[in-house]
Amino acid sequence: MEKLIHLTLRVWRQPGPDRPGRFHDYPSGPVATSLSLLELLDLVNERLTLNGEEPIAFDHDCREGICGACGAMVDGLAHGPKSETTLCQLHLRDLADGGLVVIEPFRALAFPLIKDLVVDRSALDRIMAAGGYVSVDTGGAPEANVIPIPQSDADQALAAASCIGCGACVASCPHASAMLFVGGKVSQLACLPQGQPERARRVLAMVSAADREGFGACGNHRECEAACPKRLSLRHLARMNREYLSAR
Amino acid sequence: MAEPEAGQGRQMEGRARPVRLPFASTVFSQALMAASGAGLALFVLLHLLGNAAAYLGRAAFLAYARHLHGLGPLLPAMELCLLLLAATHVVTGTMLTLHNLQSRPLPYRVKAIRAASLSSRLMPLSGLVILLFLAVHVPAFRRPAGPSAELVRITLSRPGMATFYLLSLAALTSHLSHGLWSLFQTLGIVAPRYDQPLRRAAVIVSLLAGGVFMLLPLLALVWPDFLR
Ligand code: HEM
Ligand code: FES
Repeated sequence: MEKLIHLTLRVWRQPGPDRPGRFHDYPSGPVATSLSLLELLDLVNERLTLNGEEPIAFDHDCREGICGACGAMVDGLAHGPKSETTLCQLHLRDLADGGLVVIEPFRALAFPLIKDLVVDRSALDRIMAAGGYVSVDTGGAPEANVIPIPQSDADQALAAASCIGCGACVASCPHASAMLFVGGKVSQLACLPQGQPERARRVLAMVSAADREGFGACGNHRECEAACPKRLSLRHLARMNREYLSAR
Repeated sequence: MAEPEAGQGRQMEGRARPVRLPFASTVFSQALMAASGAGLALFVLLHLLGNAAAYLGRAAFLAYARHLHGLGPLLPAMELCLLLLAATHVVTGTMLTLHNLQSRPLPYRVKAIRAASLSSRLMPLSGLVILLFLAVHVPAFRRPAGPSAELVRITLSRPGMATFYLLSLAALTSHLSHGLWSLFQTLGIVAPRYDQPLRRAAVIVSLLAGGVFMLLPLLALVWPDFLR
């Protein structure tokens, strides 16, 4: 027999950007702990739809923790209480039976709310468009071992590249800063030979794009690192700071 | 159930108005904070050594103070440097704090903390307390004419003043315990292997410094013959 639990979901409902929002309570009834929280929201939405009510809007896509589409605050924590986990990978077994579960959208000046739990995270795309790429012409695919890269550099670049752009760093930061996101990309490309030609321009452009979008400044609170489902290290942020200061 | 509240979407309007940016960028401003903070912290530690002379008695304290005044034109030069460092730190810190306050116009109704320390979140507040403290402390104890042990004893033996000193020093301890680690991260001087030790060292150094500073008003408060 599967274990069943009862939860009360307290979900932020807001019909649109310029309409007032408020919390609504939804009792789950008995539900299997093998369900994910998003699957429970699906169940609640089926009920709401059958009753002719508006279902809860939330973002999701892969539901296997790799795309970065999902994200909300669960009991005040980005992606919920389980560490190194996206919201879609949060299961009811990770929550306390009989408890109240408060679900709130990511909040930041740079993440305007669209509806309920859905916020507009395109500010992150605009930061990426400002310099998070390599545009040098590299010709056809060269022989893999032609460019020697030290293993530790490759490892760090790969770790930095694991960012899925979910925005949990911004959501959890007391200053709503996006610098771990920026730092991940800057650090990744600064570690690799392909990133060298545009190295200085990239970091200056990405930092000023983040500032323009209205993200806060990093105060080294370390909330981003703890909330990141991929556990991006703060060392990437430090490398970005170094890159920035030497680029100026 | 919560009261209906204004929509976060109103932040759209916030987006349209330019966000006030401190200096070149947030990253540059943070670097200014770190560099000026490091300079100020260095001064604080030197100041601490000077104060420690008071524990050796009145003669040692006066000898230290005379030595300081014997530096000649070096003293006003150091004072000017300190003033510039402090001005940079306070102005940049104020602008950054204002910028950060705008970055989440609608606060979370429920927010939990995973990693941030109390002292990191209290930086603007502890900084403000230090500023207030300096506004009282510097005019009271700055004596271009020469040192006076009586002045120190009389000032610090007043209970209200001693309490103010102790609270301010607690703020300084808190400010340093985050700042002494944070400045390395901000300036990009880090090696992951030394990150934990550095964090611990920052807390230990600030607790030690705070403790030695605090002993002075404590002694003056309970021991009438202190520095006599
Ligand atoms: C003896 C006096 C002081 C020392 C030694 C000191 C030292 C520091 C250090 C080392 C930092 C860390 C910088 C970083 O994160 O990279 C810092 C941050 C900060 N200080 Fe001070 N400080 C002092 C006085 C003040 C005063 C008077 C104020 C304001 C009125 C202030 C406001 C701040 C603020 C707001 C921050 C945080 C900046 C941020 O990370 O967003 N500090 N301080
Ligand atoms: S839905 Fe893809 S990461 Fe959660």
